[in-house]
Amino acid sequence: MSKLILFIEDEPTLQKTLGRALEQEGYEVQSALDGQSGLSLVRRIKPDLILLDLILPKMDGFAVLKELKKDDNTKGIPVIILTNLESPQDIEKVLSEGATNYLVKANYELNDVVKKIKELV
Amino acid sequence: MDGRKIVKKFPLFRDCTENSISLWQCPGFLFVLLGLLNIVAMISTYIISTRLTDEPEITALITIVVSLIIFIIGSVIVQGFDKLLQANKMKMEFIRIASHQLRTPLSSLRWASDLLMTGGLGKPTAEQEEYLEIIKESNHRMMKLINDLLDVTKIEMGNLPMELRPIEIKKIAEEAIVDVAPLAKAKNIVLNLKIEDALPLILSDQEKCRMVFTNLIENSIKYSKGRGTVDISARQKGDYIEVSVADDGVGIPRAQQKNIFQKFFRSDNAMKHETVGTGLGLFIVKAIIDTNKGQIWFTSEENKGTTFYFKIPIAK
Repeated sequence: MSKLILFIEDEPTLQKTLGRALEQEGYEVQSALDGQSGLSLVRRIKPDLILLDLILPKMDGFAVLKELKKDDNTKGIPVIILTNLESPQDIEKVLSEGATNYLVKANYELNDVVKKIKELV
Repeated sequence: MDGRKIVKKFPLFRDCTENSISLWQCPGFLFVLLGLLNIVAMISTYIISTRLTDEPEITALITIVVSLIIFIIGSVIVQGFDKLLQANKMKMEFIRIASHQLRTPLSSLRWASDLLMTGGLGKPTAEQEEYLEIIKESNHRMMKLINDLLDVTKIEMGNLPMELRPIEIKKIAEEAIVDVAPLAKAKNIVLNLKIEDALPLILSDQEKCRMVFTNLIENSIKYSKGRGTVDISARQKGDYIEVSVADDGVGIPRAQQKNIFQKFFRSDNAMKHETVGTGLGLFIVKAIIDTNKGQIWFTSEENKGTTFYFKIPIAK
């Protein structure tokens, strides 16, 4: 069975391009456009990996991460932060709160992002 | 030093530490200082005025007036600094959001063109690939420009984040060379890396240090005479590692050498030979080296070439 990835990202074009690239690698990809629906989708579909943006409508990525790591059912799911925020404070904060990896979108080619994801699932 | 650190951790001053405002400009600190000053002033005015007059009413009046004046002047100053702090805070937040919002569409563009180029949606023809390359290249330039402008803003606010760690200078130089290799190839430039393996580790920020190397090497390549060599070498000098990047390119006119590290400055030679460029590279490089407690300088002769030197402290 193919692995399921949930992509929580408010920019539809990014969802579409990375989603497509991941599907080509044989992953199943679902997406959410805001933090709140992302969180409820996690609880429903139990993905194998979560890609999480930090600046999101309704509930930001920091809060989503906190909720995920508080809940015994979801805290084991690896979370890759995929964002364009890059201050050391932001990076340190989410990594200390349990994010598995932190990728600054602007610094990565599509292939490199896919590679980083493949390392985890 | 330790006392200073404790003071900086105090909640009243935390705002200032986070926004990298010095203690002497911190409203919280100034407020406390003002209070102490006022107490001292009241006591000394009391002492002085009791010597001048025997009337307790007049003594009280003088004391009150003097402390009131100090208080009013002080409040005005503190308020001014408070405004400064707020403005700084807003600017920081703006940078944080702008860097996110400006770069997000560029990321979309980059990833979409990557997807087309890798042939994931059907293999592009050679001609299509050529145009995709244009999109990608322009996207890259735009991204670099935004990153540079954000860096400049951070530098001007005195808040260029540096994570200093012991790092191997040779490895950084090698990574930088990989970054600039395509440009060197396109311009017929041979890059010579002459760094020994046994050099001690330097104390620097890996990303920023790599930026210094790529910027200097890229300049050497861009301002070449169509072909040539760039020698990158490093040696130990006391407590520092000194690096040099030497080219045999067009050089910098003597009259303009003093402006070379200024923001947005581009020499006549630079404009003649290479129109693409913002004049931000060396400004950022110098700021990185300065923050790293190092030094940067150069020697240059028109039509003969330029050598940039920089030194960074060795990790202890």
